[in-house]
Parts: sequence; C-alpha cells; structure tokens
Amino acid sequence: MSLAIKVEHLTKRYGSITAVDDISFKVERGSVFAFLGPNGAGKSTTIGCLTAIHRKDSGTVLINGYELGQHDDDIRRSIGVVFQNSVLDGPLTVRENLRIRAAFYGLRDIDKRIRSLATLIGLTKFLDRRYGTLSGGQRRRVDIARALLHEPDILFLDEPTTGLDPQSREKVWETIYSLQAKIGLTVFLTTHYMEETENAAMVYVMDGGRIIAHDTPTGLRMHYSHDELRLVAKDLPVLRRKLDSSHIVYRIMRGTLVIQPGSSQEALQILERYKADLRDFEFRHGTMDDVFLALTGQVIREPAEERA
Amino acid sequence: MILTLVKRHMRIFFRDRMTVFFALLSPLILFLLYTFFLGTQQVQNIQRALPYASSAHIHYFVNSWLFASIIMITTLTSGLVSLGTFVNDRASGRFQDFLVAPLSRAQMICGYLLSAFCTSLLMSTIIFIFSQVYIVLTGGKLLSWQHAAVAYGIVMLLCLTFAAISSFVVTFIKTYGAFSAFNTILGTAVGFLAGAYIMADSLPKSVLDFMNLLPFNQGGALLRGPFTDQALQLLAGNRSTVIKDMRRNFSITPVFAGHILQPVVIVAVFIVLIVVFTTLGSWRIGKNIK
Repeated sequence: MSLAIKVEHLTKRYGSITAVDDISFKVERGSVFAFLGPNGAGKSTTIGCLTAIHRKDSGTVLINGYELGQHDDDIRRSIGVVFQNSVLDGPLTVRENLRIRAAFYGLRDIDKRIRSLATLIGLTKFLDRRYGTLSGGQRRRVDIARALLHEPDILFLDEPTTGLDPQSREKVWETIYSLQAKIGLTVFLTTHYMEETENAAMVYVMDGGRIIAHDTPTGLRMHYSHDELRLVAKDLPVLRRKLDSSHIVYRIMRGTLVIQPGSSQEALQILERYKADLRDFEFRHGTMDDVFLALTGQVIREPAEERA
Repeated sequence: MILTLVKRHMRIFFRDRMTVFFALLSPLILFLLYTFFLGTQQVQNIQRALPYASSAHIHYFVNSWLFASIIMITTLTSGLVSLGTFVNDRASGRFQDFLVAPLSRAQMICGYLLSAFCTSLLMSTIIFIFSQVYIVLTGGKLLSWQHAAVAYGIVMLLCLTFAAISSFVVTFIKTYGAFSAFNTILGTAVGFLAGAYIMADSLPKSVLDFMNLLPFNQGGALLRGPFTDQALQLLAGNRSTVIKDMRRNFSITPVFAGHILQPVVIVAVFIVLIVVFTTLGSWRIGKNIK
C-alpha cells in the first residue's frame, strides 16, 4: 500500500461554522505533504480530525490503512503529532516528560529509546534540564522527540516553527528533513510560511475550510506566480519609448519598470538589448507568497502572539 | 497507564514548592493561631469551667482537638490544590497530547481523581504523624492503636470525599488565576466553617445549623472523636455529664439541626457523597477533556 493518508469529503462543523468543508486528498507514503493557509483556514482542525482528537462530522479518513472512527487506537499508535503550542510539562525534565509519554504507549526499554532519540535529534545536552527552562527551538526538538517515541509511520506537524527565530527554524527543519530521509517518515505539515513548503512533494492551499488549489510547489508557482524583471532606467521616458516600440508589456511601480518575462532566457535577452539604458536591474522568480496572494487575495497574516 | 498519569500529576504538584506550601497554608495558619493565642484562650476557658482539671490534661485535650481540625483541613486543601494540575492542563490545551496517545478518557479521569486522593492522603499522613510527635512532645500521649486505626480510616474517608467534591468543583474554574483565588477564599473560610477558630457553643444556633449542613464541621467531628477520646477521659475523670457537654461544645459529637447523630450516620452520608461526586466529577472532567 503506497498511501499513508486518504481523505474523502471530510467535514467538521462547530455549531453553525464549518471549519473544514468537504475536503479530499491523498498523501503518498514517505513524502512531505504541506497544508498552507492563513490562520483560521481550517488547517489545525483538519489535523485535529486526522489525529482522532476531534470527531469528524462526515467523510471517510484512512490513516496508515486504518479507518478513522473505527480503529482510533491503531491510528494513534501509528502517528506522532507536534502541536502548535508546546504541550509538555514545564516543571519536569525532558527525560521525565519523555518517560511519561513513552509509558502511554506501553513501550519497553524506554531509557534506551530516549537515548537513541536524544542522539538522533540532538537533545543529549539538555536531557536533564526542565522543559520549561529551554529555548523555543530546543523545546520544539523535544516535542519532535516526544512525537517519535513510539516510532510512528506518519508525523503531523502543526505550524512547527511559528514563533521561532530564523536560526531555530532552520535547525528544526534540518531535523525534520533528516528524519524523513533517515527513517522514511511520512510528514504532514501545516504552515503559513511560504518558504517552508518549498521542499514538500505536494502543497494544498486551504482557505475558509476549503482546498482552493493543490500541486507541487513548482506547479503552483508556475500557475499562480510570475517571474519579475525590474529595471531602473537612466532616462525613464527614453526607455519607455523603446519598450513601447518593441511591444514589451510593463508597468511602472515607484519609478521602476516592472516586466513579467515568460522565462529567465527572455529576461536575459531584454537585459542584453537595453543594457545601455539601465542604471540597475533586479530579477526574481515567482514565490509561494505570490501564489498565496493570487489564490486568496490576501497576504498571509503573521500569527497572533504565541502562548508560552 | 493510570499509574503513569497519577505519577505525572503528583510529580508536577510536588515539584512546585509554592504549590505545596499553599496546600498547607490554612492548616499552618490554624496551627500558628493556636500556638500564639487561641490555644491559651481555650485552655483558660476550660480551666474556668473545670477547675479540678490539671493543666497538662487540658493542653493535651486542646492539642488533640486542634490537630483533628488541622488534619481535616489538610485532607480538603491538599486534594483540591493538587487538582490545579487539571485546571492548568485544560487552560494550556495539554489534553491534546494525551488524546493523541492511546489513552482512554476513563483512564485520564481516573488519573486526576486518584492523584487528588493520593496527594491528600500523603499530605494528611505526614501531618498525622507530625501531630503525634507534637502531642507527645507537649506532654500528651500517643493515640492507642485502636484510636489511631479509626482516626486513619476517617482520614482516608475524608480524603476520598473531598477529592470527589473537588474534582467536580474544579471543572467550573477556567483559569489558574481563578483557581488560586478560589483556594485562598476556601482555605480561609474552611477554618471557620469547620468550627476550628470559634467554638460551637459560642455561635448562634442558625449559624451552627448552617455549618452543620456542610461537610467540614461534620468531617471535623468524625475525626475529633478518636483524637480527643483519651484526653477527654483524663480531663473529666469519670464524670460522664462533663464528657457529654465537652463533646457537644467542642463539636466532637456530630449534630444536625439540634439532633445528635451517630458517627456512623455521617460516615454513611460521606459514602453517598463520594459516590455522587465521583460520578459528577468524572462526568464533568470527561466533558472537559477535548
């Protein structure tokens, strides 16, 4: 069986609000799968349903071959979850926290498992420090270790890097991708940071409880974003006349000419042809930000203040 | 797995020294008040009423009586304060971490109830032992084996009752701040409601009737019985009317609406309370775990 997750027509309502509205998708085993969307899009609710925390209202969900609602404990044993907020116990040490959680799964040889995870994820240095005294990045890595205690096949990560500084974010992603490569985990992640979806095999864009687009990151960029060439002219009217006469489409943004070339090659040709008229230029590929902007008509909001 | 949860809850409780201190605050305040002035007053009152009684016997009686109240209050406050873990877990969304593991709701509920019971039993046992050491050091006697066994049985009953009631009450408290405020108020009030600061005989009848509706003074009365029995025999000699009056005035005999009750009636009522509140508490905790 090559599917890790199969979701058909999943719907979840809270009173009159439909948080997840009839969504369907499949996740290949061993792949990285990303859910992208602003806060309140329904990403966390979807994870809540898939991990058997919330009860779904309708639809069928197969996780690792087990049907949700029928074999929830089997599902729980085959998944690991890293939550948006830190949920381990601050007053207890990392080791104590991990021991307690390992006991939930009835694991044997708990200490050995903790040692090997600590080495794999790099926790050895602070294994006996209280969880509450760790930095955000260290805590996140402990959360990942907790999620992997029982050697799950699928790892759910709900906005794992929200509220972390760039360095810690980098470290967390390094950990996640190396784990995925080393132990063949299926990784299901939600994020509102565009760049974090770049390494995913598939990206599903969610807004208002619905899936509004899905493709590979490259495919999404190709369809919903454009490369941009920005030219700073020595003499703006002169360059405009030249571009007009060659029927090159442009717009003017704060004194800069913005062109959307069909390819990097085309951009090079334009630069070559008008280089004598240019004071400066900038070329950038379409980003996932553009994709999101194009799809939802909004810029991704920064998250509200994190809960400690 | 329930044991793992109980261990976790208790470890979190005992790890925070301040929480442990607050759980013992009301018993401590009661102890200090008696050591510094209420005790002396009490001794003088008894001396006036029973001029033939020896001072050593009066002190023995007052201390035994006091510690019965202190232990009763400990069974309440320590179980309640330990349930702060539940309030905190709910406020911080920590249940999710339990829900993704193969734990059942019933196991989670049992974990909280049992940890409240175990915490209060552990703390009360420590105070129980301390009480005996204190009483002996101040010239009294150890409880006889029979009295100690009955007293400890009652301590267990009180721990169960108050853990059950607390488990229901805490589910209505949403934040840890509100929970701390509630503890402070209850901790202060319970000393009065248990008749530990002011004697039953100096209270208006209506106030006493109200107090006797609540489990605090009744629980106190149950425990005061075995705790004061030996001291009272020494104090009053063979004067059975004196013993009867003292037991009535010091809320050692359970009374309800002016009628004397047999302790076994109170025990029966407490068992009913345990069953009812364990059911209600489990239902409410289960509803809150999501």
